Amino acid sequence: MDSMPLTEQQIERYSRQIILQQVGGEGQQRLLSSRVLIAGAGGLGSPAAMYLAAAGVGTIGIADGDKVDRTNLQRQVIHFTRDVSRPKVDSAKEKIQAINPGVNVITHNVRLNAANAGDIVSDYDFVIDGTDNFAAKFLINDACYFQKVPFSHAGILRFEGQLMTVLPGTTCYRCVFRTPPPAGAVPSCSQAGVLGTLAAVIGSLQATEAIKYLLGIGELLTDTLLTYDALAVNFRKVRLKRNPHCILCGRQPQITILADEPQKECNSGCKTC
Amino acid sequence: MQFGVQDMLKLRIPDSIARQMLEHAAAEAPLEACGILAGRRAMVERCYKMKNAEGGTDHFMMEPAEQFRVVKDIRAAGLETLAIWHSHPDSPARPSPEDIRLALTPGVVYIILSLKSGMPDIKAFNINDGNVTEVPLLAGLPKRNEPGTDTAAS
Amino acid sequence: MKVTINGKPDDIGEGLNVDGLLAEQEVKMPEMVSVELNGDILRRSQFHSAVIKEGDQIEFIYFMGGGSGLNAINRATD
Repeated sequence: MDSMPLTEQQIERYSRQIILQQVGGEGQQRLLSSRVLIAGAGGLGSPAAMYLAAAGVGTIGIADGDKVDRTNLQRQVIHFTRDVSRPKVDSAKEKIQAINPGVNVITHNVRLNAANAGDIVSDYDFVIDGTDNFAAKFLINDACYFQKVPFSHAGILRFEGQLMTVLPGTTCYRCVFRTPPPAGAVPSCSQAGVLGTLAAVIGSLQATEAIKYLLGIGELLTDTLLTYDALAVNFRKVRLKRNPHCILCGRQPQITILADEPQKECNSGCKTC
Repeated sequence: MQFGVQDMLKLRIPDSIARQMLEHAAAEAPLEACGILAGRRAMVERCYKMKNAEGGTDHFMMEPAEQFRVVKDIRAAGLETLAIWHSHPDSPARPSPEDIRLALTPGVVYIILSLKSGMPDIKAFNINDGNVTEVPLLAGLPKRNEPGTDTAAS
Repeated sequence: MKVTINGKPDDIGEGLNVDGLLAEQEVKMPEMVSVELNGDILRRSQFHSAVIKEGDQIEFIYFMGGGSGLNAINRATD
């Protein structure tokens, strides 16, 4: 895509990053012509969308089929009290454009599933997984793998978060976490809870990874799982390798097409679920 | 061999060790990974990655020859065996009936690292005669004046 | 007579075989223990025949194993 020279307004708006040696006017133009999808306009998606908008990513896609709920307001800072009951994609789009009218926002008011995920992600340069359930995280991992789109995986729960960047050819989510937990086995945010600021920390790291990827700078968090323990203030980088037995990207893949995960019964034998 | 089966009240695992455990578990997935943690006064100082002689996705077994080498190494370093850990690539961080049945070494904590929850989950347990109680795991370095630290209050 | 057990000097009676030593050490499940005598891992059949001598170095450890046993559960519920 040919890049237009920056206008005076753009130079002023983005001056604080243009003066960075690793960005410059050329980097800014690259951001302006980039397309990033944010899957899930929730806790993680909120800061990611806002910072990508502020940084001038030219096209931001938002995929979310839900409406804003009062319980979201504790951490999904792109949604305000007055947005309750509104489709999340509309609420998000409004704030993104208020931050930066120069950003083109594409809304996908759908819940991602095996039928639509491939087509949706294929239209973007980078995807941010801002989903709030593990089945969706596996779907995004798989969709980005089949469509060869780089993405940022992340998850938050209680006082912990994790993050990894997946490029075609690097360790994928399934290399380590093979299949989703069975229904009911792992509490969701609504059952276990999550401290709101975790979303800010991890979501911002996701946006940072996206920008680094688009600009081609720094070292991406590939083949690495970053874990964050907010209570102990520990960031831990766990080195990973692509798993030859991975059921998606290994030598003998068992997953060859995008499919919705079947909801298995929890069979660990515990009585507490 | 530990004498005295006093249950451990807590175990502190420094970051570098937790990272090694996660790396070993991830690298071995989908097979179960296992290891021995050694240290002093409930503070882990070393992680020994052990071979899973069973080579199973739902079983693990250490090799006696390797165990003997490690136990002697721990002793030579002036440390104690504090914990035996293994991973559950496909199930939660809880001892299974088999884990409980085979928790034979007295005086150590049993740690399970699960990769099933979508995020790594590490939990520790005292297992005595079939009784399982969770042991809190702490990270990093002890704070000043925490019981068990070497430094005197100043 | 003086021997070393798991790195510690100890004093035990004469003429004990390995079975006897494990009993004296109050090992509850001797069938789940591996024994090394002077650097050699003994076969279980030797527990009865191997007699401890003065100055011997004995190491013993419990079997370490376990597992989620998931596959057995999965088969059982098929």
